[in-house]
Amino acid sequence: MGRWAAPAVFFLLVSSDLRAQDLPPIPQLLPRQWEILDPKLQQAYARVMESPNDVESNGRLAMTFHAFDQFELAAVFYQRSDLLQSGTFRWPYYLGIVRGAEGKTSEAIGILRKARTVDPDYLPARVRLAELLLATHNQEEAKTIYQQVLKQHPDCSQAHYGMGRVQSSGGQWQAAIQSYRRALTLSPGFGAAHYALATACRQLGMLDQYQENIRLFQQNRGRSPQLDDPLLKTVAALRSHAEYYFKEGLRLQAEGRFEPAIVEYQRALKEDPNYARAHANLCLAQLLLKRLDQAEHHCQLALKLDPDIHEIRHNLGLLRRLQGRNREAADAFREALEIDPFYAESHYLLGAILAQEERLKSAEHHFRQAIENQPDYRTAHFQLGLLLQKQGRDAEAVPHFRKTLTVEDERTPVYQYLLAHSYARLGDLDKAVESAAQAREKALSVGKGKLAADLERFLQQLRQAGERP
Amino acid sequence: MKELAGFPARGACPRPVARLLVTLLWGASAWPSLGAQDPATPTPLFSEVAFQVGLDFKHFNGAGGNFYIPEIVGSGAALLDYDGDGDLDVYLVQGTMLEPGKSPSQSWFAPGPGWRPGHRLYRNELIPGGSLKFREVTAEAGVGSVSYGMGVAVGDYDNDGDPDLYLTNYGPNILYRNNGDATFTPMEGMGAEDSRWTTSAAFLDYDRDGDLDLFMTNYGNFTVKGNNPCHNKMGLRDYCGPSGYRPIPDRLFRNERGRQFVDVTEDAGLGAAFGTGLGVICADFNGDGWPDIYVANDRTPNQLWLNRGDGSFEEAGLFSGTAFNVDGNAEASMGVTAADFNNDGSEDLFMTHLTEETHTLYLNDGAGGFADQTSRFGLTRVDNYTGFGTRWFDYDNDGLLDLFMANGAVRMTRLAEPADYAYDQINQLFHNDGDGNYRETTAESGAALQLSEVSRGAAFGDIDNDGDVDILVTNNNGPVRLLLNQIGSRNHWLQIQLEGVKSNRYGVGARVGVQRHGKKTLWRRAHTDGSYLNANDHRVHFGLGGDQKVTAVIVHWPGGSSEIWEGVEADRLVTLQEGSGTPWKP
Repeated sequence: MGRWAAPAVFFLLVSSDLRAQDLPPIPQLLPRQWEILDPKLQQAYARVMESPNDVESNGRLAMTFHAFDQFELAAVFYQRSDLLQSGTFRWPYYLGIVRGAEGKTSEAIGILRKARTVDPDYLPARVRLAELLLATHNQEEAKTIYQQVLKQHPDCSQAHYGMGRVQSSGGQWQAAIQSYRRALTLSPGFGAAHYALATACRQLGMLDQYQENIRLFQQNRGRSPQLDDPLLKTVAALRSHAEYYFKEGLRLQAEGRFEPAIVEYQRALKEDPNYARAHANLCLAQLLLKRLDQAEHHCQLALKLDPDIHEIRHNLGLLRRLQGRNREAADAFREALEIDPFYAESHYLLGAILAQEERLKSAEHHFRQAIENQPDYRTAHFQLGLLLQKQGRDAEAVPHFRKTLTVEDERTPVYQYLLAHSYARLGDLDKAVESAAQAREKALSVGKGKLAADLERFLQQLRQAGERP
Repeated sequence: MKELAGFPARGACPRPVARLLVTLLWGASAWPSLGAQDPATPTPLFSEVAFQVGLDFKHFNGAGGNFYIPEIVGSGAALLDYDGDGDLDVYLVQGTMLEPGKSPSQSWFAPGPGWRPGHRLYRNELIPGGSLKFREVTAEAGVGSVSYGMGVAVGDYDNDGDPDLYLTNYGPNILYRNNGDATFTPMEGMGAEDSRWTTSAAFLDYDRDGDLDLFMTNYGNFTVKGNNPCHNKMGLRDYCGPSGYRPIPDRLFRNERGRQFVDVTEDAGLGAAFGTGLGVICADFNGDGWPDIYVANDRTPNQLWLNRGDGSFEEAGLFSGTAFNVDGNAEASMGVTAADFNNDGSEDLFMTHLTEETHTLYLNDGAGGFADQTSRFGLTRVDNYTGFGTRWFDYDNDGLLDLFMANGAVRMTRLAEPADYAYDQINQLFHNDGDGNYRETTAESGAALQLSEVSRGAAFGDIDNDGDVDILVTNNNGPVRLLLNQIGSRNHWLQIQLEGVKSNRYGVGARVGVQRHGKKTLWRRAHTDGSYLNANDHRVHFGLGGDQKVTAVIVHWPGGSSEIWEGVEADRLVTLQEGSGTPWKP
C-alpha cells in the first residue's frame, strides 16, 4: 500500500445496510498520520476502506491496532466486527481485553461475560474475567469461576492464585496460603503468588516464611506463568517492530541472559538498521561476553547514528578500558558525563582512571559525584575511602569504609581491614582491634587464609601498641 | 474567645494570653453563587471560576517535538496566605524552554503576545461576604524567577509566622524566604540546594526540634543532550516512560534553626533506596509519634521511611506492604495522599497511577502494616484514567473523606498530530458513602469536571473562606482551573489553625482530633504536603454534618504535648495556640 491511498481515508462512509448504520464510524486519519503509519496498519486500514462492512477486514485492523497498543482504535474496529458478525466469540473477547487495558473495567467485565455466553469454556477468557471481577471486588462471582476452572483445570496456577486472593480478601488466611502454595507448586517462578503468600504469612505472624517468600518474590518479580491463549497469540504475532524486540533484549539482558538478548537486538536491527540504542546495547552485551571486536563494531555504528546517547560513550569507555587504552577511556567517560552529568558509573570509572594517574583531587571529585548520584555505590565508597586514606585523611575515610560493610560478601574482610587501618591511624585502637578481629573471622569464613594471617599479624601489632605505655 | 484575623502580626503574637482564638468566617449564605442557577437543575458540586476571578495563568511546557520528559511532568501550585490577610493566595509554577538558547516562539505552543516567562503569584483580594478576586503580584513579591518549574512546598522554615516557599525545578531549586511584608527573598547558600531534577517536596519536622526540615524527591537522569528518543508501538515519537531513566536519590535537609539547612540524606539512611520519585507525603504511619515519609515512585517500588526517632530512618516499604500493589507490582505512582479516611485513628494511603493500572488504597492496620484494599472500596468499578494530583478531603462536609483525582495521560491515547497534545482526560470525584464504598460523583459535579485536559496538580483549600474545600487544578500546557465548592457549606464545619510555640509555628505534623457527641472522633493532620507537586491549605478542615458544636478539640503537638479545648462552636476558623489548652492524656 503506497501513499496514493491516503486520500481514500477521507471518504465518509455511507452504507445502505441498516445494520451498518449502527456501526461505530471509522476514525478518519489526517494525511500526515497516514504517512507515518506502520505499513502493516496501512494495509489493514486500506482493506477496511475497500470493504468497510467486511468482518475479517475490520477484525484484522482491530487486531493490528491492538498489537500496537492503540486500544481505543482497536476497540472501535472490534466493536464493528462484533456487530457485523454477532455470536462470534473472538471479537467480544478481544474487545473485553482492550477495554480492560483502557481502564474501563466494568465495561470489560460486561463484554467478557457476553463472550462467555458464546464459548463458556475458553480458559483464558474465564481467568481474565475472574481477575477483573476480583479487581472490582465481585468476590463471589470470581470465586465461582475459579472453582469451576479448578475442577476442569486443576493445573491452572493462575486460578489457584486467584482463589487465594478471594480467600485472603475474606480473611481466610490459612486457606489462602494453601491456594498460593498450590499455585507455586505448579509455577515456582510465579512472582505475584510469592508476594501474596508472603503477605498472608506476615498476616499470621509467620515471619520466617514471610522472609523466605519475600526473597523468592524479589527473585521472581514481574514473572508470571502465561496461559496458552491461541487467540491472543494471533494478535501478538502482528507485533513485529524494532522497539518490541529491543525491549525484549533489554529484559533478557537485565536477567543476565546476554546471548538471547543479542538475538533480540539483532532482530530489532533487522527491522530498523538505524536503531542506535540497539547497536549501543549490542556493544555492551558483546563487551560483557568479551567479544571486543564485535563490541567495537557496534559501538562505532551506534556512535555514527547518534553521538548523543551517553550509554554509547560510556560503553566505549568500558571497551577502551578493557583494551588498556586508559586515556581514551577517560575521554569517553568525560563525553558520557557531558551528556549525562548524573551517571554514577561514568563518574566512578573516570575517578578510578584518574586515581591510577595520581590525579587525586579530580579522582576524589568523581568518586564523590558517583556516590551523590548512587549513595549505595559500594565500590565508589571503597575507592574514595582508599584515596582519602592514602592522603592521611583517615577521619574522612572511615565513613566510606563503613558504608562498604553494609553488604557481606568475600570482599567484606578486605574493606574491614582497611577500616581497621584507618582506626589505628586515628589512634582508636579499640575499634581497630574490633574491626581487624571481625575481618579475620570473615576472611576465614570465606576461605581467605592469607588475608586472615595478615590480619592476625596486624592484630598482634595493634595489641602490642596497646600495651605500650 | 478572641477574634484573630488570619496570622498574628510578626513578633506580636500574644502567646500566653489566648486560650482559644477564633476567627468567625462569613456563613455559607453570604457567599453568592458565581453562576446563574436554574432552580430546576441540581446545584453542581463545583463551579470553575479561575479566569473569571483573575487567575489568568496558562502553563507553558516548551514542547516542540523532542519529547523531553519534564515537559509532560509539571507543574504544580501552592495555596498559601503569603501576606497574612487571612485568605489563601495562589502561587503557580511555570515551565520554559528546556533547550538553552531556544525561544518560546519555537515551541509548538508558542505563547501569544504579551506573554511573560516565569512563575506567578496571585494575591487573593477576597472581600468578606463579597466577591472573590485575584490580582497578580509576582513582580512586587519578588517570586517571578524563570526556571523549568515542577512543584512547590510551603512551610515556615524560620518560624517567623509567615509561609516560605521552596520551588522545585528541573535545575536548581529555589528557597524563598517570606520577608513578612508581602515580599520574598531568594535564599542562596542556605544549603537546601539541589540542581538535579526535583519533583515534589515536603516540609516536616522529622527530628521534632521545633523547626521544619525539608525532604525532596528527585526523578531521573534526564538531560537535554542525552534525550532518549522513544516511540510508541505505532512508531510515532512520544514521551519515554520511567524505564528510560535512572533514578536519582531523594534528599533530606535538616533545618538548623532557620539559619542553614544541612544535607543529612546519608546520615539519616535515606540514600539506601530511591526510585523515580514523583510524590511525597509525611505522616506518622506507625503511630509512634515520629513523622515518617512516604515516597511515591514512578514504576519503581515506593518507599516508606519509618522514623526511628534518633535522626535516622528505616525503609519499610516492602515489609509494610506499601512498596507494591496486591499483585506485587511496582506501579507508576504519581500523586499521593494520606489520611484517616475510615476514622479508625490511623493514616491510610492512596495514590494515583496509570490508566492500565489501578489507583491504590493501602489500608493501615494501626501499627504501620498496610494491605492493598483498593477493590474493597469501590474504586475499581469505574473508568480509570492516569491520575496525578489527589487528596482525601471532605467536599460535602459530612465528616467523611472523599477523593478527587486530577487526570491526564502521559502517552498519546489516540492517533493525533503530535502538536494536538492528545493527552487530555477528565478529572474525577468520588464520594465516601460511609458504608465502605466510594461512589463516583464526577457526573454530578457540573461542567467543571467535564473538562478534558492534561491535569497534573491539585491543591486543596478553602479559597473563598466559606467553610468548604475548593480545588485548584493545574494543567500541563493548559490554563489553571479553580473549582469552587458549591455545596460543602450546606453542612456544618470547623477549621483549625495551629500556632506552635515549642513546636514549629504552623504545627505541621500535629494530629488534631474533633470529639463529637455520640460519634467517633475525627482525626486529621496539619500539613501542606501531598497530592502532586503541590502545597495545600495549612488549616485543618473538618466537616461536621449536622453538628453545630463539637464536644472538644484535641491537639497532639509535634513537640510531644497534647492539649484539649472543650465546647467549640462550629462554622468558624479557630486558632489554637500551643500551651493555651488544657493538658490532655489519652
